[in-house]
Amino acid sequence: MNKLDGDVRDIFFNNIKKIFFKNNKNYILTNDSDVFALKSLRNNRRFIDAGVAEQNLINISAGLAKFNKLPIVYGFCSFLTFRCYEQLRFNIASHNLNVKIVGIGPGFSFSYDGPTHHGTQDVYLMYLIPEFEIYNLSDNNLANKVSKSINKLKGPTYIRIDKGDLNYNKKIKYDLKKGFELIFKSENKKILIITTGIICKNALNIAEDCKNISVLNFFKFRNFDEIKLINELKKYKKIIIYDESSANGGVIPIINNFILKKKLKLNIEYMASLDKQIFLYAKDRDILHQKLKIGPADLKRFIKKL
Amino acid sequence: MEKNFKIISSEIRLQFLKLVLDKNKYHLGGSASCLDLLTVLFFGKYINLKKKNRSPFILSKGHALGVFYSILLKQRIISIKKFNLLKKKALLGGQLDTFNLAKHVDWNTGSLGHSIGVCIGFAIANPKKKVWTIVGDAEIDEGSVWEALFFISEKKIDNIIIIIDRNRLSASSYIEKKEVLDNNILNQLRFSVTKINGHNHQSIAKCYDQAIKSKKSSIIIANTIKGKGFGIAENNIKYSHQSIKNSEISELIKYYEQT
Repeated sequence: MNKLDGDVRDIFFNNIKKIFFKNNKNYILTNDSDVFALKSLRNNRRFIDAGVAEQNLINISAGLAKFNKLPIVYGFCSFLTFRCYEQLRFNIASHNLNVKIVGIGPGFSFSYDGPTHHGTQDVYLMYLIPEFEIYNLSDNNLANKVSKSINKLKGPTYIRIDKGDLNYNKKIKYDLKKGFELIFKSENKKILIITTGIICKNALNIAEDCKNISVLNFFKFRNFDEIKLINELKKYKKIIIYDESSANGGVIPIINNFILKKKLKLNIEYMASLDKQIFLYAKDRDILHQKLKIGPADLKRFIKKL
Repeated sequence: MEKNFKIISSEIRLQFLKLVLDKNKYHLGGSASCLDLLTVLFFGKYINLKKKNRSPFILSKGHALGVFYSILLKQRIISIKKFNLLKKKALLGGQLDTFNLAKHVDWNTGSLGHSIGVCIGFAIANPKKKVWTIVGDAEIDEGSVWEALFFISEKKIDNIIIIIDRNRLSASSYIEKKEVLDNNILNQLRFSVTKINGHNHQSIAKCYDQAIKSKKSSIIIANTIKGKGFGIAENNIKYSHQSIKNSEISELIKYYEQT
């Protein structure tokens, strides 16, 4: 068994647990959320379950960070962002504090629970707070890299982590400073899919079947290597931004703003979830993707039409 | 001590009025109501703002910052020259921030209901220190206040002292009735709860002493008068966040200079 096999949350939080034991400045806080890897920490004085009270949770973490503690807060991404937005903006970000917010359940990973649990607008919401860096973890390899480096990431940071065995992209050497990585490279520079998070896998599968598509995993949304990204984008005739988040709630406006700022002339198309709260319930995330026409088959059709 | 506090609080009122006359826009009523509470806190033995390793403090009702600045000026922690320079550069205004007076201001303010939760973080990080905050009585309506109070009570966080400035006036209305403050609801939580006259320096000091000795976190409900000591502004909703005429301020300055 490869050391990166298994559920991405286990990879991520087992590393966090090791760091927690090594560094007594680390505190782990949650809003009554449970992850398997951290169950054994619940009786530790540095593990704080604030209950279903996200505003207080974020305030406590801010207070700890003010005195050089290193809080890592985890919980459902939709509740850790929307429910306590002012606390994030004012108490963590305005003081530029070293607090890591780990949002579980991004996108439609809790597809049976409706729009309250869908993380399809949290990315851009957090992007609006200028001090926050955002990492969107697509696979076990990246989750391993980010979690091992968690105390080295400075300032307010929002990390989105999905669920399931995401052990693909195994050979990619992720560079956290660079903030993106080409995970599939086509010799033919016709089409580039820029994607993020779990649906990187969909784009990758399609690219492997076709000969003219490259795939770029965009995983860090603020301080990425702009020059390298521009150089990469300029190589392609057509760019598709493929996101599970809503068209205005995810990476599309982030990349659009970047392109405008840099005055790049690119041929771009988008594929993302609808800009509305989705009252659909399906046990299988793929079914929601199909209904919203953002699944792999939809992407394939979309590319064929180009 | 009582006599000294009386003199000092008059001097703080005088300094505050001079700042207002000098075109500093402060909330007159809410500043005056917590002035005596702050005077005892910083001129008693409770928090020495000059010390590095002092107890943390958050002025949750940050719009009362004019009094806090008056104390910094009176204690010569900041000179009026530096104060005016920072003001000229638009670095000081109507809310506190930590950026220019970092040694003396522990938290940015401007949004209500945050401080008690932040104090929990301070208290966990500093278990051997008492952590102080002053909150307004209107601010108690914020849900985050109750999230924090329940947490302190349930998790037995024992080193927070919360002073509620009970001046019975919000920005827009009278809040004479406040169920949670008036009907012993707070007594059912794990706090040491005390009610005092928030303008009686002896009571304030005695209450602070008890809070420091208490093995539980404390809630001090300080009954105060909005605009206390500022003539026409006393208990007058019009001057909750508006100033009085310059001529009236000048009269008050004369009064405090004479006394």
